[in-house]
Amino acid sequence: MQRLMRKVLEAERDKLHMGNPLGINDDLQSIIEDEVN
Amino acid sequence: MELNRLELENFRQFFGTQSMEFSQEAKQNVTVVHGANGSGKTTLLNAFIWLFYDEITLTHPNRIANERAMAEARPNGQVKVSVTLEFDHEGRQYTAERRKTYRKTGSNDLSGQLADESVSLQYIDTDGNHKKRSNPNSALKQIMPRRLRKIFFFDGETIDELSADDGQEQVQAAIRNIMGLEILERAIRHLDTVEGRFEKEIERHGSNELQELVQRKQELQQRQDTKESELADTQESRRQTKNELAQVEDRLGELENSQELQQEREHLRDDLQDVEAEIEDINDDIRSDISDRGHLPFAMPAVEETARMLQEKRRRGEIPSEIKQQFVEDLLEMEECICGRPLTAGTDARDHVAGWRERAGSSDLEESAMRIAGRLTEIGTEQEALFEDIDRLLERRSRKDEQKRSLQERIDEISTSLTEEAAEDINELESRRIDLESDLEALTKKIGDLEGDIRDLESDIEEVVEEIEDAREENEIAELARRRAQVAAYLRNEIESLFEKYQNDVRQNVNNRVNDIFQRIIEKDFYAEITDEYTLRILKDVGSAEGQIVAKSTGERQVASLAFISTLISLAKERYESDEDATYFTGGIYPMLMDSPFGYLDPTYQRRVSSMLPEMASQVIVLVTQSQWSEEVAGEMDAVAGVRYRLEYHDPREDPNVEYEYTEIVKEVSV
Repeated sequence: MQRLMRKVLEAERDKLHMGNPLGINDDLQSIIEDEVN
Repeated sequence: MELNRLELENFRQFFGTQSMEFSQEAKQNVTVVHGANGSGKTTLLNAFIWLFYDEITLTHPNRIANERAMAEARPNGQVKVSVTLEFDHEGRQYTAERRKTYRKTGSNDLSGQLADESVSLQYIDTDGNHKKRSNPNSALKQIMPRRLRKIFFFDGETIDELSADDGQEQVQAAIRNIMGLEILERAIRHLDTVEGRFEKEIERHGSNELQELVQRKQELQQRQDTKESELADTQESRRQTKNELAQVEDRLGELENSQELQQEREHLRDDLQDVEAEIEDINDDIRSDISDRGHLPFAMPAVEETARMLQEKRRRGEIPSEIKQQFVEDLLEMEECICGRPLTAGTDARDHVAGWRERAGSSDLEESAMRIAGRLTEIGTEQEALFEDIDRLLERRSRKDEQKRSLQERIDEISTSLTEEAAEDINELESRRIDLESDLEALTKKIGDLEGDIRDLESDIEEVVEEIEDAREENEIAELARRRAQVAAYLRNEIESLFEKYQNDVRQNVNNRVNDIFQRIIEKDFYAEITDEYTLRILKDVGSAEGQIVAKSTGERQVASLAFISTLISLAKERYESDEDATYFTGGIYPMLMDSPFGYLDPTYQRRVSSMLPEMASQVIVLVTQSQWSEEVAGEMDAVAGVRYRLEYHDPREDPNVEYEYTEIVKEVSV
């Protein structure tokens, strides 16, 4: 779960860093789908 | 972020191109800009706000272009306005530029009409390559978040709002934003959305359908079991009936008075069976003929119409045509007609002969027409043969039906004779035989019905089984979505706890530092604190347990706010420079740009604040009015300022040589 949380926060950080937050919900959904299957 | 250089071009009251560089000296990291009221300090602050957010907080926000530049431009001419900032950020050298071009619509137009605008953000990466950010507006807001605008670029005269009674939202937002906690905040919000998506999926795929289908399958299987059991009983009854019937008939075959008739009946039955088989064969033949050739009578109207059309074409001489296409082509190739005329290119004779191409018949088409005509005749013949064959079969079947009827009649007569036989045992046996035969017929029918019912039930069960498989798949999808929703909720809760923890840690940390800075400036019995509700307040210790009162002085609140901002900036820098894992708590290096920070401070506080400025941020830019430029401030500033500028305001009311107001940036001191 810690790994998953790190992935989620890294995705948020990267989006924020890029200055383009579009698609973040899709990204987080994919991260959870990949881990929980 | 470290500011290097600012360049203004025709921005508001700054005429032409003017620039300033910012001090980056460690001990003298303060850049001072002083000028009279109205000289353009707040405009300078707005140059940053305009560059980063395309906003102006001054009166007449749409008058961006300098009036003098507009006045000097000819009608329809254009005036370029730009703000360019060079700065370092996270190891990269950036150049940001916002530019707008205004067209002068008439000789008296001093505002201009926006003709063009652009924003760019270029940087030099660690390898020395020049690159451009693709989405400069978003990237600028990322570097300097808009919500932090009031923290980085603040107006000293209103900064005390932070420590007002209703300032807690601003304080909380400032702590959250400057410490990089927005990553956690955003993750919480987005995970909530993602959880909602999974819940919708559960709603879409999850249902009680599976349970209902399993129940239906069980009911159908139960009915099938009942029918199969009934079928087995009926088959047994039929077997027993058949046995008894055979025994009765055997007995009739043994008795002297019935023996002959019984034997005859058995022969007749054999014959009847043969005739019935023959009738069935004939029926098969009829079915086969209709299946193979039954279309012919329906096709005949179309066949006859086609034949009529071909006949008509033949009658009109279109088939076969009088000239063959190949013949025309040969003449054209030889360039000579059969009459001897030359058919060279460009002659009327050649054009005339070439015109025959369209009228000439294609040999392929004619051959096809001939083949169709032949086939049409065959179809007619086949139809007649079909009718003849069917008639013949029907006639045969009719004869066999007659034969069957006759055999049946004789069998019935035998039965009647045996029933009327004087010998009691014979007529009783015959009556019993008739009953048994009737029972056998009823049982056979019942077996057929039961078998049909069982087949229907099997088919229903198969369908339900398929539906159960589909529902089970849907259920699995819903179950997976349920687990994912749980994970999203778990992560959200964890991050929420983390967020609260960090926010409180930071609040505690901020609390201690704010008070430390505050007390170094104020040196009274006052102290500053940030409450659990994120209110920044100043208390006076009156020496008793409940002896704390909230101070109301604007000057003290201004100092507390300044201490708060300075604390946030230094904490963010510490976090940024620390080696700790900082996925979601990045911090950052930010400058501090203050407009009129000494407004409500008495000379002692002005001096103390001035002396502490270098500690407040890695880089401090102070815009100060002439009235605040006291001896105390100037004395302290000389020690901490790396560079000093004066804003020289040219006022047409005071200088007859100046037609329009404008400001010049004049460098006074440089280290």
